[in-house]
Amino acid sequence: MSGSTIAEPIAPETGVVPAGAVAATPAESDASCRLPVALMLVSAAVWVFLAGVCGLLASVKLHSGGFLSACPTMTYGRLYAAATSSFLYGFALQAGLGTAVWLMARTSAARLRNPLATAIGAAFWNLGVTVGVVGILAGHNTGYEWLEFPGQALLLLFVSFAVVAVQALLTFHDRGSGESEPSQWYLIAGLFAFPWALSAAGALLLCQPVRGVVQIAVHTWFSSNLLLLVLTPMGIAALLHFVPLLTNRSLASRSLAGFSLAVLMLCGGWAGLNLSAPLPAWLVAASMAAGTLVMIPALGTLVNLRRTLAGGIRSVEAQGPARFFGFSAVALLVAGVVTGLISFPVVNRTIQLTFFGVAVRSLWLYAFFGMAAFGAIYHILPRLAGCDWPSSGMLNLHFWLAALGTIPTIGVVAAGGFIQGHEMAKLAVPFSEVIRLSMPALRFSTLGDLLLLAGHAALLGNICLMCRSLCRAKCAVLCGCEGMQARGAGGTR
Amino acid sequence: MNAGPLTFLGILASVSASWFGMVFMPQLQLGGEQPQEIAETGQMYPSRRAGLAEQGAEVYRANGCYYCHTQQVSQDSSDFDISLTDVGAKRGDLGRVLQDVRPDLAQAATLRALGTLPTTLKSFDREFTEYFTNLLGGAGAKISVERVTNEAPKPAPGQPEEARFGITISALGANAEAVAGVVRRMRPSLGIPSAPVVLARGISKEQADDLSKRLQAAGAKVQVTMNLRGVDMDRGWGRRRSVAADYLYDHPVMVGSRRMGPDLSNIGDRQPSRAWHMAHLYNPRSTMSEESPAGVDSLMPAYPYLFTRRPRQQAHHEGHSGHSDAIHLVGGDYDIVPKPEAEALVAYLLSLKSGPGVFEAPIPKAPSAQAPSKPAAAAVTPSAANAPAAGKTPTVK
Repeated sequence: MSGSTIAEPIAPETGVVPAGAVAATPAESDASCRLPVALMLVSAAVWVFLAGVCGLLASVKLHSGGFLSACPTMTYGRLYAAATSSFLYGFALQAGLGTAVWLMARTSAARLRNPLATAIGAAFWNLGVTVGVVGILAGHNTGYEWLEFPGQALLLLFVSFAVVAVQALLTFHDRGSGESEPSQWYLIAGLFAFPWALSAAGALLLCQPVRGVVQIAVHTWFSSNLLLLVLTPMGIAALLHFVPLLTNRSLASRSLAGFSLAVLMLCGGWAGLNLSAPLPAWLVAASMAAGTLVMIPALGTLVNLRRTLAGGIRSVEAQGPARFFGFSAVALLVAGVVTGLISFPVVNRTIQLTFFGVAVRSLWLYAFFGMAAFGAIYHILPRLAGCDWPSSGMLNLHFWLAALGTIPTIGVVAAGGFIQGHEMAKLAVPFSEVIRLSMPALRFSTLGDLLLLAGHAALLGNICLMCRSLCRAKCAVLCGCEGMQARGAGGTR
Repeated sequence: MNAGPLTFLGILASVSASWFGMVFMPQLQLGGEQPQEIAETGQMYPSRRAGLAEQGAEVYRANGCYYCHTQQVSQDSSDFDISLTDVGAKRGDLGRVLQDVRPDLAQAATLRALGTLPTTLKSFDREFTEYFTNLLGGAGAKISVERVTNEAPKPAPGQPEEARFGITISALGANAEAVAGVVRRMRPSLGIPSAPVVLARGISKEQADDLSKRLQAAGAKVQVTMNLRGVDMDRGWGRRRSVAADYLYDHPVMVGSRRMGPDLSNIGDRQPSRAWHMAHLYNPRSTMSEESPAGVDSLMPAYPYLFTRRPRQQAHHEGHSGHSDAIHLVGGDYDIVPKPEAEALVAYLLSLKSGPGVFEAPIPKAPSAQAPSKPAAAAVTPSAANAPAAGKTPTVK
């Protein structure tokens, strides 16, 4: 299926679309990326469920210190790292990558180049995540948050991401028209930034470690790259593609999208340092300033989407995946504004070193990116499978569980973190009292983790149902007459 | 528009910019940092951890302790104290400055000087004598005036010799402070407290500079000392803010990002007991519970897998009664013996100590003159209590 595109390698460069190079129809695009994208999206759903299990256990351990304490694997530090890493690499990046490949093929009206290589890349990606999670649980984490996977796993991830990303970029190169879409710009940014950040950080933290606090700078640089230059562009790309698509409009402003991307790319990599970091003052100041500016791309994207929906959001029927995208867009706005606010020194002084930071990260990762990725999964998988979701009730259930779950895991945790920071600044309050005061928030967040896990189970259940019905259909086709006979027999029964 | 290459170039440029700023520049600035010699001790700081503690860092990392504990102490601000160390010769000028700065101190010093009454304040001309006599009388002092001759300045030739008077105060009366106020105006030098004395605490650098300039202009010698301010340090989590040098040999650097538990930068100073740490790791609730001084159950997960449990008899039987390492828990029939991991982890925790004062973050020392710093109170009261110190700016003349 890829043969036809490889046969005309020169066509896009000449700028003239030859008569033979007919743009692929959406169905052809879907068919070309069926195997790799389905593999990535389904694996992402499995990983997000596993991450939820680890996260729930970690959340319980946070306020019940004696729970499951006999087993080294079940230590809070290891469970939490496993939960974060499997969410980030197993779910977020994998769903982002799958969505990116599919979007690239669709928006370029081209067939995916080398679907088999892409699928093998995706398989190795999952192998890498598995190795990494097992490594963390066995105590081989690297000690850098968000980069906890042992080096071998990271190497696997780097290679497999590069393989998949190259296929996506080649597909972009094959696009029928010379025009490029804003969502493609964002995808290119994300696809490029991850290998770049991972290789630089891996080399400087694990292979040839830099000395002392330079590690903090490199590590912060890596995490903000991963969050703001890889996942955020991928999430925004999904919003910029799906929101106009699902509402039958066209994106309001290409230039605003480009401007938002430029600001995001310029500032994103700098953000993330706290006032307390034992680093040169100029670096901390630059980081805070950049963090404030992260507000701009979030606001820009929201303005763009709002103008796209001119005529009112209420006029749009928010059903199915569209709900997820709507939630994600609002979360992007909140996340951008909050990130901007906590970069002001006066606010940062209060909330640094509290779990307010955890809430902000969840806001970006779950409420914004995660919801966009769920929306993409719900939109894309039926198109690849060729059949609709077996249960729209479970889809809605997932949405409501996820939406409700974010209240305790983000809102309440943020409030608890603020209380923690506020009390910690008072000398008269002993530290044990500070923690006691912020404890109810952590207890409540376990409820949120439970809701989110139930949502992930709903997603996984829906996928299983879909697989079952697909298998049945496949069996019916493969078995031919036998199947027909069986159906006939079933009918008489 | 074929924006592919252009988009790619823009993205490359912008990610390179953040790489340059956040990776390359810090490496340029701090990547070649070397241990420095500490002036007081003559030792190099930092030094590498001992082998066991180094292994302990691995246990700390493997179990993700850094998710809940930070190892970074920050300083919110700094302020200054000024002490008068020598009053110098220009006592009148100094008295006037002190009257502006610390009228209460000047008042107290004046009253002390007036302790041995009667006191005679001499050599005022007729006009001033009348003026002050009225004021002192109004303040309730008991005074007498007499003419003095020998102390009057020699008049210019051809001029009549001016009459000079002395005012003798024999009793202060009911309103001693008002009398002291008048006396300070007559004799500023009487309002000088005996040095050394702390003139101001907790003032800003500008105020400290201004004040020390005025005092020095009045011939005095002053000592300006810097105090480090920060809730972390006031909680007793360190003596100075964390600096790059503290992490020089760490890999990975585990500064942590949130405080579910207390900061551990100087846990080895705060809690030097190996037995306490062992018991805390085995069961945190045994050392920190509602009955303990903390008054709260510890939240820390227990780490029983870092220990082995042996029946006490068996240990004796094997001739291992010399389990000096074992922790004896109250009411237990077992010896809880730390595994090597636990030994290493505790060695690491005990190795976490507040570093010495370094160039970029000196530790103000309490001078011997102001010895009464209370170590117990230091943890709860702001470090102002630890008072004047020969910090960054030592004695200036």
